[in-house]
Amino acid sequence: MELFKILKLEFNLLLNRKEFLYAFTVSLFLMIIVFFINLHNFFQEYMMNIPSANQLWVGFDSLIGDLFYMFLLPLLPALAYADTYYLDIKTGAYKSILTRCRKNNYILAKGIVIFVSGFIVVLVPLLINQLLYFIIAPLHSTKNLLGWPAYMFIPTHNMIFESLFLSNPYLYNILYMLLAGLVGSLAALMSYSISFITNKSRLIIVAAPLVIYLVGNFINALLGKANYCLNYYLQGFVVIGGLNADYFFIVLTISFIVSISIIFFKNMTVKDELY
Amino acid sequence: MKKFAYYFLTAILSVTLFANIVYAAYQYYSATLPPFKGDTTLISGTKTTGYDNIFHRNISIGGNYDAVDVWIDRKNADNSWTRVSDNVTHYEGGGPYTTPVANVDLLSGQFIRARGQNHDSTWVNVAIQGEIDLR
Repeated sequence: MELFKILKLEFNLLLNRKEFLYAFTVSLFLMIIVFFINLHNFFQEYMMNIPSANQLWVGFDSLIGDLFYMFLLPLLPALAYADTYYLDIKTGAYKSILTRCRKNNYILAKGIVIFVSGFIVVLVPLLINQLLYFIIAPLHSTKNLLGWPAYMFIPTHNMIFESLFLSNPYLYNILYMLLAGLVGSLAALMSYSISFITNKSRLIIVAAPLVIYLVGNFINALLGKANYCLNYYLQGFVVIGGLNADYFFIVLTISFIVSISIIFFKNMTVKDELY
Repeated sequence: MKKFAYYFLTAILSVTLFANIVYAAYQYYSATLPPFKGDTTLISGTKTTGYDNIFHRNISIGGNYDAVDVWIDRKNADNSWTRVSDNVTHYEGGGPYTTPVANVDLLSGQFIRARGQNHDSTWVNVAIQGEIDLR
């Protein structure tokens, strides 16, 4: 019962937090800008010359989508709510909270809200972007983004969920939205777990997932192993050979386990409730 | 016998000439695709026909990257370039691909170039080789 009360409180704090609203607005604004760029490109175009709405979706095959997945995806969820534990300690709010509830419930509730906040910041703008394209683009079209003639279907051999794309392209896009949301949640959770290790700087806590993500992707690209760059696993249409779903889900699972372990063990080992 | 030898030689020469005309227009190129979808010139040259397209084959791209976006620029009188086609994605090992120009009539003698960019955004330069017939 106590857990639900804290959860309710934390969700209220999340929805009223400036940083959450900023991160959500930036993400949403970017998705709407991409939509308007395409709206301009296809203005007064014949309907048969417009690709289908699923191909126009930002997460399918677009430059701004690429940049969003490369740089902003781990940053915005971490900005939203993940540094609140650090701030509670820094401002002393931690003391007054722990006199009213159990520490474990507080940590767990915060973890759940941070996880959900990362999911919302990524998933909702991506979903809105897809919904916006239903206004201007047909559900199905013979026109494709590759500039190929209508009788040639776009290659699907590099897709991880190829059969889903062929049977239901919109469900395929929703799956990719969920995957991106999951990565956003894990970035936020990782940021939260880092706030248990260090309380030196807020910047370190917020930027750590981004730095890990960027360095990992950069090193893999530099070594000629682009198929191990995580950002390519989040886009619906990439032409990278050798993508391996197992690798992607293993990385996500390890990130989750490591983050949870840090939070769990730091709570087990640090016995003093009040700083 | 002598007459037959002349016919034979003429036939060989005709076939060789035909083969040269058909296949020699392909030119090998080697280029580097810049990071973050930067643009690069794959090959440039003068149009020898009035066909409004170019051909691209034997594409080889470095790393795990599988495709390149190709389009055509035409040189203007003031030495500036005008884009005359949309992007067309060409896959490694696929083709021969045709990149058609859009709403423009290319003429023999005009100077054009085939431009390319990596289809995927990446951090690194990627090598590309292939053969293009500017036609």
